[in-house]
Amino acid sequence: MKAVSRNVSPVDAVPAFEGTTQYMSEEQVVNDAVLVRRVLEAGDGGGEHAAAFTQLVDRHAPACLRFATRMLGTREDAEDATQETLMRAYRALHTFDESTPFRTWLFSILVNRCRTAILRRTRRERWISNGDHFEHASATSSPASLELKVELGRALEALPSDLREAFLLKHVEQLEYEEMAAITGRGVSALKMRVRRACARLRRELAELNHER
Amino acid sequence: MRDDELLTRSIEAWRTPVPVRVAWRAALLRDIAAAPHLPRQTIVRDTGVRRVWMLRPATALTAAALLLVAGLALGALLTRAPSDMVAVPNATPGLTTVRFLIVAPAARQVSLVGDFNRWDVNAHPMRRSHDGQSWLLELPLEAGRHTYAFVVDGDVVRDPAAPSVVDDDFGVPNSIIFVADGRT
Repeated sequence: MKAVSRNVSPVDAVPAFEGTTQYMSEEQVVNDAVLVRRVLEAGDGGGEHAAAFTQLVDRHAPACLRFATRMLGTREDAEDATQETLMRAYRALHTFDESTPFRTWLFSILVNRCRTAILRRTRRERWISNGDHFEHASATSSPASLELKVELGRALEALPSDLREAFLLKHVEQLEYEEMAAITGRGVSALKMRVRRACARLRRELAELNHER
Repeated sequence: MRDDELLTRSIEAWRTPVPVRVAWRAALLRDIAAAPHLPRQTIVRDTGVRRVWMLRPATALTAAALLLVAGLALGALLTRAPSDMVAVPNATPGLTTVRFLIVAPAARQVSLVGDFNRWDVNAHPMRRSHDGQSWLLELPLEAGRHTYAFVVDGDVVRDPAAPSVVDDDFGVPNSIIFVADGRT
């Protein structure tokens, strides 16, 4: 399998915005709504719309990138999906309903972008068993830790995409089932079943990988 | 190491933030700045539920006209076979030409995917109807059961008029068509 390599210097990366990818406080939700209103009320000239939207990008892009990276397996695909998501959100911002948290609305777009990316992938082998989406880690990690991360990537890859999607939303993005249902369009009970099945398969997969090592 | 402990440690690793590349962020913000300006909004706030409404008269009239046309099209759609699919005998023995239609006036690109084209989003692009409201495609299909969906501007959408749906491997609802020789 051919590795897809891209040169990303550690200098070219900035730290993720901590605290935006975990549980969201009520204040955070309110602030998102305020920011959206600020974008919509900004004047037409001078790029005021875009400037106001930048704050929403900085707040939510890290969580989107993490989900897309775990979902699609490569940094390149994850960046494409996240960029498309944020551009679509910007263009459709006037349709945003403030009764829904902005993150829920944004993730519903992102989940669809990831599904479409997987659909388009068809026979292309994009999963980087040799470590594309750990390329940044490779610059700073020991060979042993890099190997471990590659194996973790393989374990996720082995999951069917619907199980992987539910698992990541629940255990990595730490969303409530109700929010996951709003994002994915699936019922809560169906999502719980998918998460259970995903955990069972991951336990088996990880145990086998651990045994091989 | 116990299986649960392995899983817990793996989840912690997967929660590690993915760094945002400076160059990627800069390119994204450039694209946003270059994007067409958002429509100027008239904000009407309901005291109970805060929503943002577009209420410019010209926009409202245009939207009303579009809704009327879309409603008429939808009405016609619902009185016909699922998805307005019309099956006619095909010149090729064993194949029946099926017309697929979806009402999507705002879409920029629509294609048909299904088991008959291996879900290839590029295989069967649909063409916009003359009135600009719908997207059409006529496709010869073998007799039998087929699963399909529309891809509207990159989003997978099931046929809103189809009577049956199933889930595919991606959790996206699909539609089903049964094609008989000469008649759906």
